[in-house]
Amino acid sequence: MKYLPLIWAGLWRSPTRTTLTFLSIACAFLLIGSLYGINAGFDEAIRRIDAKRLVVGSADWSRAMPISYKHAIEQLPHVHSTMIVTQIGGYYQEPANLLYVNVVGGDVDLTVFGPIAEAEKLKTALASTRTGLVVGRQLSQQFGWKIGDRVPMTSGTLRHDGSGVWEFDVVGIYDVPSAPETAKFFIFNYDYLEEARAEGQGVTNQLFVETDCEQCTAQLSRAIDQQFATSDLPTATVSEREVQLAQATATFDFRIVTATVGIASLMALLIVAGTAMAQSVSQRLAELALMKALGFEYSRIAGVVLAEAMCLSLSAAAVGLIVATLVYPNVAAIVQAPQIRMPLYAPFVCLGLAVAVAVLSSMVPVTKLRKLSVAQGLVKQR
Amino acid sequence: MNTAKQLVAVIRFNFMSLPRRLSSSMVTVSCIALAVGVMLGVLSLSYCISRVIESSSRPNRVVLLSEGAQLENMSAIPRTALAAIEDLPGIQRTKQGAAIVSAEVWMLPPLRERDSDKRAALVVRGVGPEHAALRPEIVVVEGRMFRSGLNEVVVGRRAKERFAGLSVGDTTRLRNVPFSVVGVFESNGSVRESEALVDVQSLISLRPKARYQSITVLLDSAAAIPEFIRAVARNPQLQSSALSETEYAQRRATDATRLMELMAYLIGAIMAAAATFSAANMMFTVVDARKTEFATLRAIGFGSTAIVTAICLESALLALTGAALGSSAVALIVNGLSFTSRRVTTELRIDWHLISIGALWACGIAILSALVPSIYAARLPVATALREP
Repeated sequence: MKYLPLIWAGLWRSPTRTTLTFLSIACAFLLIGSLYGINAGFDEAIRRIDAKRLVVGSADWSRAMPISYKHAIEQLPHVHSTMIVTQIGGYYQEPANLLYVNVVGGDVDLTVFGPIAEAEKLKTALASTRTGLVVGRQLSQQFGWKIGDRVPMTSGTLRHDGSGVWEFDVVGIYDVPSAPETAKFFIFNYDYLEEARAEGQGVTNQLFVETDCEQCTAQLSRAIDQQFATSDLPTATVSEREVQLAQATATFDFRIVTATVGIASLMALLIVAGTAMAQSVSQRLAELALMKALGFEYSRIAGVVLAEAMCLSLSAAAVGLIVATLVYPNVAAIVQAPQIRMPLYAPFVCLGLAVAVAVLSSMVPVTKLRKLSVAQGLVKQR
Repeated sequence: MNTAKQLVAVIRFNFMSLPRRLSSSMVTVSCIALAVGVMLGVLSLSYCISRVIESSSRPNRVVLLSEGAQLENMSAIPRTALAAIEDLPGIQRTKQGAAIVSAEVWMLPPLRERDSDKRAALVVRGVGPEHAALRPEIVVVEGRMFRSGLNEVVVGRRAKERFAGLSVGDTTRLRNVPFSVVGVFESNGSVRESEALVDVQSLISLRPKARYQSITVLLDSAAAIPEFIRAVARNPQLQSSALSETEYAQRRATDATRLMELMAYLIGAIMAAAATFSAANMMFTVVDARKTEFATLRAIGFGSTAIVTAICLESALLALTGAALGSSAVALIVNGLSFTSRRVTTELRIDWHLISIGALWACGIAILSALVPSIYAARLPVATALREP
């Protein structure tokens, strides 16, 4: 504790240098913190996804699978439930109001659309009304829909009477408490679609398969694909995690980018912090030599230099990381993943890096001090 | 002595003493090299993709999409509209009198990527009979063109490199129907090289209800474009809207690269800020160590302008050295790497355009970081500066 004033005085010996070094370290940690936070956020989001769910799709993406596949899959071992999810194009009132229409059937589990609150209650409400409609909070606010409203949707999928206008009764509005901005799906019953559509009955784009055995997902996914491998329409089965991962890297895989940028900024950081410490020490070589002459052990003097580096690096890193945490939602929106959150451990990993930078940057001046004789140090002042 | 002469003298003086300040100059140079290198590396991704997309357009070609569709993947034009479109004014015709038009349908068969073994979609574009006249830039470099009416496919050079099983002589399957790969084409490195081409009739026989994704038309001249676009808009039965291929390419490039470009500039800006602070730090140290020299210069009659300018110039020179080092390093790393975004594959290359962007950023960093220290040096009272050790 008694060294605190000494460390403090050392830091503020040259206010300009300390301030500028502080600012450049803070900038570097803003960057490192944001990039690492984004990567860690993705990992977390993917880890949270239910590992027990598989998504079966047609290997040829432009063609839907026959519904008979559902029954065939149900015969396989370890299949707990299967859910139909298919998409049709549709809009509300005018083409600009495009809707994300999902049609669900079979063993419905609405959590395939995200961590939805009260999914069971909504499922019951949907099942009890043939023309029922469940919409996300975002969507309902955009168009002012309330429970009990009758909502028309215009679609390229025509009804028996040749009209493309479908009517629904809003039976539920769902919330995604952890990511409210993702609640924008338009969900209705597959049975209603099947009954009313003029053509293209008996097909679905996707089947969500839930297994009762978490270890068997890989095996089950292979078994499903094998079953249809020789048919006219083979399937491509992936775990829900893989689907999310593929979506996250749809435009490009920024993991490589973030890793490279992170390494480059760390290198810059080492150079900056290293020179700052070297300058600081060489400027007061005489004082440090005087301390040696007064009987301070080498380890104490080295400790003071190291502590000074720690103070500078950790405080600057803390400021950079606080800013990184504050702007995180904006960065997540830029990489088109507004649903991800910065895991708590991410800033602390970065603080660990700040400690490493401090240790490495004070290494050169500290070894220099070791070799320094008192006389040399005192002479160098002139 | 006038300012110009003074300036030359101070610059000479500065450069002669540069070797003495080698280590601090190296710090500035390496920080700027890292900042510029990283920014160019990230920027090259979006830049190369958009260059490839934009190079595929010709000034006298027009693309028709269905009404309201922004891009081909959202577009569906009824097949019955084709005959009416072929009769529109301004379309170039072959000697036989056929309109030079290609009404196109896509298929996206999932293939295995060569490097990762992952499944990814290849764009198989069904093209019309006058396709060769429409896109003369497409040149078959291996094998031959597909024959119409047969299940044959020619693949772009990039597509062949990216996917397994697309060499001449291989057979690939569309909807479980075998198609033989009969040729490989190039098209000046444009976006088409990431695709494969087949006869549109072969795809329609596989998907009898398919609508056209897009229709591309060759006009007599670029001047005919506005009139053609108006003619399309006047006819509601076409259910489509037209835009020049150049404009369409820009729209597609923006869609594919907006995110990457934003990231490049954000990362570049933060790294530039960090580099500016550390370069300013170095400049302060240098100016502080040399304040006796500067005071002496001013005592013998040199003006402040000459001193400020000379310090800024020195800083700019260091920054440009850093930019040169950073760009060459990043060029060594990324040149020749292949990169895919939104089904477009390109080869990364750091070209002069990117290098000049990097040099500009470096100069900005240099001026920003040198301005305050140099003004400080020029305004320090001569007597004080000379008295202090």
